[in-house]
Amino acid sequence: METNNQKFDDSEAKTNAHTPSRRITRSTNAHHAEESLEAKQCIQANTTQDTTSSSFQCIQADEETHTVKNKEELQRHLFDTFPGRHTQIKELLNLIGGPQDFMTPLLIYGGPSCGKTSVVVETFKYLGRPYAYAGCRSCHNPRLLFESLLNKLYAHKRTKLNNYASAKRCDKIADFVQYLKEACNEIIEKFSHKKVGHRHKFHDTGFKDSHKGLMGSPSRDVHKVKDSGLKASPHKDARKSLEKGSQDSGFKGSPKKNVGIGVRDSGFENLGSDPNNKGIKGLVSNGVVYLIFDNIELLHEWTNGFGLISALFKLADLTRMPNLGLIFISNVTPDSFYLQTGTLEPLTVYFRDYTDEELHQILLKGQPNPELYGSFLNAIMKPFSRACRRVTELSAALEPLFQKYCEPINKEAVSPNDEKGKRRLFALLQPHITPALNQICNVPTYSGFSKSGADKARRKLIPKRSGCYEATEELDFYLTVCGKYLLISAFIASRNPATLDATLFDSTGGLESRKRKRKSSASAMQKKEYEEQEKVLKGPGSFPLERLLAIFQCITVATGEDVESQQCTDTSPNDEGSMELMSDALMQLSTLCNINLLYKGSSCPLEGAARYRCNIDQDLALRVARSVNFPLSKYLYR
Amino acid sequence: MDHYLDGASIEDAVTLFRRRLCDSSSLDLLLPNASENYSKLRYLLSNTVTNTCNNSVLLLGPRGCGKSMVLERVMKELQHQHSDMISIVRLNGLLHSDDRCALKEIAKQLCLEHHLTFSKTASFDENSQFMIAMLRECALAHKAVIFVLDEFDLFAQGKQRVLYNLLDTMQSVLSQAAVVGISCRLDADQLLEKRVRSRFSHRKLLFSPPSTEDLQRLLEQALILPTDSTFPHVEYAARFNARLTDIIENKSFKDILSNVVNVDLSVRRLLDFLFRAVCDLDRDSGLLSLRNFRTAVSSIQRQPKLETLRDASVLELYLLVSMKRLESKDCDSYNFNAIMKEYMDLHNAHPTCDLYSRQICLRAFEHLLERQLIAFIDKRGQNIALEFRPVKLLVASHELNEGLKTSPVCPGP
Repeated sequence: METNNQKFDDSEAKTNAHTPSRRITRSTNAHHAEESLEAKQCIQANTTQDTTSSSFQCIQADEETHTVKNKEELQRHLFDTFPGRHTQIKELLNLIGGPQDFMTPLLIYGGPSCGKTSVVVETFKYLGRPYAYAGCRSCHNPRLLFESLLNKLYAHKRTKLNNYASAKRCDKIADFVQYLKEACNEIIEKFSHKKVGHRHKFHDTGFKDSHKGLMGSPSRDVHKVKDSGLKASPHKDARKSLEKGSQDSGFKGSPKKNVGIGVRDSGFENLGSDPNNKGIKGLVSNGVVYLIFDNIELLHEWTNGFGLISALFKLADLTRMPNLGLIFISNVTPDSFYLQTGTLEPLTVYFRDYTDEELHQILLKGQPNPELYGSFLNAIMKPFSRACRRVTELSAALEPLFQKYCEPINKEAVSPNDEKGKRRLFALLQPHITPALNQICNVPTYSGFSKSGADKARRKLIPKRSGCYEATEELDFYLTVCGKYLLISAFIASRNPATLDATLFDSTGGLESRKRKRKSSASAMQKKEYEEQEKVLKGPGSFPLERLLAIFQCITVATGEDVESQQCTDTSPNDEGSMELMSDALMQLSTLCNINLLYKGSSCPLEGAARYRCNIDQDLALRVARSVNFPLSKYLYR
Repeated sequence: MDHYLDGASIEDAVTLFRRRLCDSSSLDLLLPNASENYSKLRYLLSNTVTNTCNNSVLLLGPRGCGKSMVLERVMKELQHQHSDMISIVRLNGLLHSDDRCALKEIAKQLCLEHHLTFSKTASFDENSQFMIAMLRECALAHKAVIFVLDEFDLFAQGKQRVLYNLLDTMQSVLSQAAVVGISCRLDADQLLEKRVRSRFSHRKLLFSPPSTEDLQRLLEQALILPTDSTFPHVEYAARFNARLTDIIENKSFKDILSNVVNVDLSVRRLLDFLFRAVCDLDRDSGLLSLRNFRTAVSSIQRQPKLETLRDASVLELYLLVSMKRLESKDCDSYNFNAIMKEYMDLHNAHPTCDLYSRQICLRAFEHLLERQLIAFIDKRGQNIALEFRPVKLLVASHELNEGLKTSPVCPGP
């Protein structure tokens, strides 16, 4: 389940919008999503498998000229895709600025599933500037993180041909800084040629068309080039002659041809000779390369993660490249990144959670029947949003509910169009709301705290005792009878104080002694009661192995011959009983520990023996007991 | 709109500002006591270069008060004066705090400087021997090697073998080198081991943080557009500068500035503040306004906890309030079960419609953990079930009160 979760988060980057169907695509083809993500993150100009549409290329090409109109176009597109994120998008675009604008490190933070990654990745997809994205969840150690970033910067694809090797091998931040410098210089070199073209697009429309063609897929190229009336130009192999092409057409179309050639020859540095920027010394030297780090908060758990975080924040200083745009995305608030020696604090952009109206808009997006869904949402949103306001969880919980809502309409019993029909629909739906609300809990979400362990290899499944068992009365996993009895006895041992064992299980002692005990003063009894309650709240007590086995023996004897025989058939066919039973019980015990139904603590230095804890709650224990017809409640103190 | 105003000039101005603000080396402002340190450092290092005097010095002071800048300038000037008598080896504590890595980097940079081929597979010993041999060669050729150790305190973390090796070579006459450490920890020399400390010269240059006036000057320097030939849009620049001086004189701007400066005197902070303001620049008029600065100050002085509280759903707020009540009852440690009980009690006392089942509450509890409004008390016991692990509240009670007041969903007090 956890590995799945890891993939969810990355595919988040890929999804364009908060459509309610997002969760499903996430869960079903999470793996596929990740692959395609990889493909998309390659720098657009360099990818050979650029599958994006020509309109996309058009926007990309236009944006580079950073005229006001195109910025508005991009902004409008983002506004349409992400309802309820207008201020944040504006802020982000302002902070990113033009392609030549340096920026200080940026930290984008906000709760899970509120569109941080989607907005950033979508923005950069449309900006058409060199960027590399890496999620710290899928790249779970420094080496993977560095190498995946470098791969993307070099537009290197790991294939069978290169034996799935990365572009560079580096597992230290020191090496990374070195390679990053090289990679960025290479990229800037490449992009500079492209940008030369864009600068000239101001003056010449014929060039614009041919350039657009050049960047598209080959089949479209030929078509576009023909359209633009540049038949004569020898762009047969368009992609190969990208550099040459831009030079050629600049030469052809632009009236200032010597400027064009000069720029081409001496590379990017001389862009200052462009009439727009004439004389601004060093103003236009090189473009910005952006690095996006997702889920940066996970770095806290890496070895020396704090050092790594502060190094990443200062990456621009360390590489001595001010043209490095760093964007960090985090689920947690920036105050958790403040370190002792006060390293660089990045600028922050806060993505707040959605309000009810925004949730309404988002959930409505991509619905086939918006009117019906809208009225459904109106009826249902209130109780849900009070308990949970996360888009992913809400959409998952609402889906089955909507099916229920539609049922009477499909049967044509009610017409949804008038007020009366709506009321009737709501009345029909009412009984289903609460179970659906519980359903929220079944959505697997990221739970960072459960995996913060230093010893990750030994991490075990934490039993989810949420709604999973609620729906069915039966257990949805298999345990042997012996295992079930062990579990029950462990539960008893955890819940009851050890002093009570004799009273409960001793045939001579029995209930009288218990009653006698209770004949103390009322206030003392109350106090004791309170303490006991506290104890239950505090969690399961621990117990040694001997006590567990003793109780186990007692309850198997107490439940009589019937179970005993059953057990024997389960364990061994012969009748010499107890010894065989013992060895099997120990094996079962280790199984239970492995699946984390029991928790084995470290061994006590004084006593030597390990102590156990029962890790299940009463509901599950009762259900286990019921499945073997064991009267558990009789044996529970209180 | 004025006739001389076009989009390009505004974009150029913004680009220029952003470059100035992000690349702090482009701003040349020396803080008053930095110039004193500058001459001291220059004397020390030129002593090494010309008189073969081995030196070690620490530049100490809070972040953003010009330590690196002073050093860079000194080295630039020395390089200019004695062009091939200096080679510089730069190390950074963030990158090379590991001994092996640091020595490798030293060897690499020395190789690069002297056109030797660097072997990646060289061991720690080989590298350190290489370094000593190189230093001897350099000294024979009368070439000074200056080691710059940025984030010096981080080098003092482990066994300090690199520091020991470096400072030990300073003692011999067979080398001509200087070690310059930069650190924002004023007690950086106290972190050294005894054997290292005895080899350190105990020269320390203290840098003091800038004063409010310095920052004001810096601000003007950063935001005034050049009116000479380096910036082509002269009329626009003049207009912009006039407006800027207006704003700077303004009383409410002074309030805003003192608001920023009172929190943090570092240059970096001020530059961040200006960066924010410049990014917000109105693209129609092309001029800065007071509003830009006001939004900038609010966005660099965030209160993340309050923001998070504002985002919390009703149920999450209920759980927080229950925890608060538990704390006021002197309950030293509590877990989800205790909170749940308190929540139920709360409802029995004041019945509302917000009574949710245990599962939903558990989910809300997990959300609170994710939002870092609450946290587990100890990191141990990973395998104990979630609801039994003791937690603590990470928001103060006044923050919680304020959060409840400002929360858009909170149902009354």
